[in-house]
Amino acid sequence: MIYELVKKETKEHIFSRKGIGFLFIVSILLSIMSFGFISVKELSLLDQPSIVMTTFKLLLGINILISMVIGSTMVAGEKEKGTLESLLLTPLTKRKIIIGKLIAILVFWLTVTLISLPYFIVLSNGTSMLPTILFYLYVVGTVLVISFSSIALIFSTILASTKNAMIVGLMIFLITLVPMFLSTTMKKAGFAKLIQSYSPISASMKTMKDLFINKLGALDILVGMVPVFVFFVLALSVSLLISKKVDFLGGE
Amino acid sequence: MIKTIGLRKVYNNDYEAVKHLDLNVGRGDIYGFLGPNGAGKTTTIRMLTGLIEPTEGMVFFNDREVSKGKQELKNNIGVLPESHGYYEWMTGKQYLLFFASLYGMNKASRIQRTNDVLEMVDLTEKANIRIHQYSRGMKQRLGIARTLLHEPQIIFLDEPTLGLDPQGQKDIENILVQLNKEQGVTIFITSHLLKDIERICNRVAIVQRGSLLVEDTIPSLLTTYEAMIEKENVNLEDVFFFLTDEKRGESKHDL
Ligand SMILES: Nc1ncnc2c1ncn2[C@@H]1O[C@H](COP(=O)(O)OP(=O)(O)OP(=O)(O)O)[C@@H](O)[C@H]1O
Ligand SMILES: [Mg+2]
Repeated sequence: MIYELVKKETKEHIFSRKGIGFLFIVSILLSIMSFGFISVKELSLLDQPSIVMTTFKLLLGINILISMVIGSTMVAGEKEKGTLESLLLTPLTKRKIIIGKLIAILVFWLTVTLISLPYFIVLSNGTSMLPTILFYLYVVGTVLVISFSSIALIFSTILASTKNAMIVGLMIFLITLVPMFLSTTMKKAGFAKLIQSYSPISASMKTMKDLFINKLGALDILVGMVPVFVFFVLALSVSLLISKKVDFLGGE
Repeated sequence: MIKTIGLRKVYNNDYEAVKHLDLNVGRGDIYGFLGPNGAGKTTTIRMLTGLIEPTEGMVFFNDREVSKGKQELKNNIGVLPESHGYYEWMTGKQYLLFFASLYGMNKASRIQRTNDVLEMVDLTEKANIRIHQYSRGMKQRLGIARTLLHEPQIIFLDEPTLGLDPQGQKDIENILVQLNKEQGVTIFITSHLLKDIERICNRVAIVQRGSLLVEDTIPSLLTTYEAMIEKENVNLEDVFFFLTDEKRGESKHDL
């Protein structure tokens, strides 16, 4: 039952014109970056770990952005088109509807990781970074994508329009990104410090750096990763709880 | 088959869309649920089909309270919501197969049943065309086909003829009568086309501003109001206006 829903969602949002467009953008970006790293002198002076990290950061950032855009459309879009009511009237439970849509977003992420794999293999050529990259793609990346997508799906469920759902979802994503725009000194004070220490995105980037450059051990990495997993558990459980309780047709 | 006791719905804690409704829909009925715009018809259907929770009151489906068995209800009712949309990128057949799978049918019965319902609504020839190329009437017939996939005991249709031309209305009417006669499907329908309702329904309820004005079989309704309406050959439309106008008159007095 849920499999059929996943199939429909994937056809509609992932392997549709829009979804393939997104995939195309991701591959173009990867190509431009890799080409830049290899050909442009200054950039190619960067050490390989930095190159891999920057590429991963960008890939994950863009993918989360796209996932949130897709996630916001998934429920609110069905409200706008008037198809949600019929879906809710089938034996599918609200929770299964949310899970089905979440899985479809994951299909997108898996496709993106497959596209990016050859690039990472080339960029990490001659080093032993590949296993770590795979860990970040398939464990950390997947966990982050699920977390942010479920947030997008929550707002898509609560709010009546795709536009509003997208705005609120993206705001949350941007907040977790704040540290990236701040200088090192600014990161040490007040609100910025708070986000810096608790943002799952910051945590994942920091641990990656710790692994590649500071060469910290597994335990330190695990501790550094705590915000990522706390965020994951919170986002997913809240969305699954809400999906059961909330009036999907509310906000009309 | 459907029975409600004191059904009430308050939106946002301040707007009472449905006030204490007691309805009775019998097995095999074609039940017309009538009322002016904003009377609370759609709200009532949403409560009957378990889509929204009543603020107060109870709904019984085959003597079982609905709030206690949502899945059982879902498996036995078909619903065509008010202003519904379609996955326009699918073909009519894909659309039906998709919903059939959500009802848990296996592949063979999915295909068989999809072909059967397509036949019932006369869409077999258009089955492999994408829905965005369908006319309004075809979409509406496809919607009715969808409500029938899992062989429900009762179907709820919220203004199924909205925006259709006379031929389209006639087609839907014929489909419904045939379904009722040949397969014994109970039909709960709202519509503003009182002449059609009079022709196909055996029972009607008229609601206004969330309150039930009357619920009766059509012949008995006409007999009751014949004396009060000073006109020959009273029809459903006369009764409808008589009841809803009188109410308006009263509320004017109140002011
Ligand atoms: N989700 C909602 N929130 C708040 N008010 C609502 C909501 N849905 C309906 N209403 C209000 O409740 C009243 C009844 O609406 P409803 O749609 O049930 O009427 P209806 O009889 O189906 O009308 P129509 O013939 O126009 O379809 C209306 O005044 C409407 O504005
Ligand atoms: Mg209505």
